[in-house]
Amino acid sequence: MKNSEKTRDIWYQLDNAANLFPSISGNSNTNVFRLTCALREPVDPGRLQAALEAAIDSFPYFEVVMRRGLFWFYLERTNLRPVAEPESGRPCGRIFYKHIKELLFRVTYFQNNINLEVFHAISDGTGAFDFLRAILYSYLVSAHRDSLPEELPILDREPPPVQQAEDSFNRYYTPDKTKSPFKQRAFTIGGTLLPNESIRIITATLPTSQMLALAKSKGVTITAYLTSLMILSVYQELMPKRAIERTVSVTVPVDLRGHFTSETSRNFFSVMDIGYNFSKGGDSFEEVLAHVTRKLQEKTNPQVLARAFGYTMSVQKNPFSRFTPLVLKNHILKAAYVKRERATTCAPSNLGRITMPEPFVPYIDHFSCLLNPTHLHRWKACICSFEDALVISFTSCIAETRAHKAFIRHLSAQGLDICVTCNGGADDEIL
Amino acid sequence: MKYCKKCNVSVNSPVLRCPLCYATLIPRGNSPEPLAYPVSSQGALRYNMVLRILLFLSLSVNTICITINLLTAPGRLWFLIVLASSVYMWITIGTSLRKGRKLGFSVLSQGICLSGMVMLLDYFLETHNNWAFNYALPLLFLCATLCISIIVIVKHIAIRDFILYFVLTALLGFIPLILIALGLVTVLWPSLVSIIYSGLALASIFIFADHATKIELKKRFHI
Repeated sequence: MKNSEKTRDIWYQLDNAANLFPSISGNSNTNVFRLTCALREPVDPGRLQAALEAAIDSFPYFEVVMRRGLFWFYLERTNLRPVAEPESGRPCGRIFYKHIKELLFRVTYFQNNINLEVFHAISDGTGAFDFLRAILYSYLVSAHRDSLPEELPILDREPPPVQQAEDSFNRYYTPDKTKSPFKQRAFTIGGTLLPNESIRIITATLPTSQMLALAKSKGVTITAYLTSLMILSVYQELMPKRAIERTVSVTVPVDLRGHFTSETSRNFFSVMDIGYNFSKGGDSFEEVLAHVTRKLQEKTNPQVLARAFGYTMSVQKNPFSRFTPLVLKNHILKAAYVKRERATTCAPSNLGRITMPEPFVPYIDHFSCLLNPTHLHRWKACICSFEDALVISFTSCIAETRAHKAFIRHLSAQGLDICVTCNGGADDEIL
Repeated sequence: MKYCKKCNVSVNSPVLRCPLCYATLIPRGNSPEPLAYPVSSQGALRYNMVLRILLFLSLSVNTICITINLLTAPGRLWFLIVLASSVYMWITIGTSLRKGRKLGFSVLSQGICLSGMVMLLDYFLETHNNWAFNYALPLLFLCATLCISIIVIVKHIAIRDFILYFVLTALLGFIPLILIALGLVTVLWPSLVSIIYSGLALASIFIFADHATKIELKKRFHI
């Protein structure tokens, strides 16, 4: 048993992106994302628990609870141990409650799936994937020790604890005193909200090689292709004629670890807003694609990215926001968040290619990722690929599936072999 | 596995219709489709009857009081006392019923709300001897700080768990200093007792603070 008083002495300030999440989270806007690894065999709960305990010891940064100070929330290390549980409740369900000291992630299993659900304030997709891969590593080693090579491969990203907990925003930002870049209001998706905060999940699995070939044939990246398709699907299926003056804008997260050296497990991403106004440009896929590709290229420049988080860092660092008591700050942040979300329509997010050391590959079928939709961003998509399985997971809180249909039909019309799965069964009332 | 002819996709979930376009699916192969997620056990949202009755009662009482007040004595707005009492009741319910709320927080919020209440009462009852500023406020603040001191001692709670509320409640005790400076106080001793007790309480925190408490102070008050 670790000394609990000593553990509590270790604490972390929230990073720039994380500051927002505890203030705005609730039952529907949970700010929880889920990473899933589908194995080729049913999950053994005992093994998973042992693997989880081994992984948390090499990722101690995840063993934290949220506490409140007078001016800011902060993370405090704890002795609470994570428990792997059978999956229940809705995916991406609420984890964080202001007054309850609990771990800010949850590991569940269902049939062949191992799910890691994380409250966004402690980590982003890349950081959480590192943790999930550490869990998988221990799990597969214990389950298949005999068929794995004598000398085990090592994971490529398993940084020392101090580097895991580094606030990389703080390390790389340069102050930027420009005005708020989030002024313009974009088109917001309407539709029929699902009851009881439930969400609809539709997942399309397709061969990575086919998708790559399709994107290459147009001379663009997969991100650019799918982002453009999402914009076009919203325009064709969800946008009323009268709203055509409004820009359809999507917010695309970028992992900053690719542009600035960092091994942090905490949030280190920025977002690019890519907008397309159909009243000014044409409505063919090629036109949207050309625009999106150009914008993505402009915005993935490290200087532009640094400017994006330089602005939010400057806001966080100014004396007015520092000395505002947390009770007031919560309300200010909520208002700022609503304004920010209204500047974009929806959110496609590409986590890219997930890798595992070669000997583990045969045991894993695919990875997938789910984002929690919100009342302002009612349709979200998350893309990740493992070997030849590219998984596009759509989550939405509305009953309409027209945009999903337009998106997937476009891909299947290009000759891609798509397999669709959804949540709910034949007798589900929401279908 | 099933197949949707219209969308040209295979569907691997136990559904009869295409999740995208609602067209009837064509079976392909005999293997049953697995559930991708367990059947959600989400119950109905919570519905608290007692709180709703209370809310309705306070709404009716306040509406009736405002109407009677404005009809009979529009010069003397006594309905504000009823309104303030309702607000106070709801703050008390809100701060004490919520899961995980701390005792220290309740003491602090009671201290603040009750001081608002006594000032309002003093104003409307027109006592002319300033009892709110002279007696009620300082003694209220004294009680709050005393309360937290006693809780810490009696319940053997480590001071670090209470530090935020201890400091904030002790700081409340200095409000009489401002009131004296503004010339609102005519009877000095209650205010002095409150100020001195708060000052000593704060001093005790810093004098007896061990390493852990210092870290706790830094955490709670970091800016």
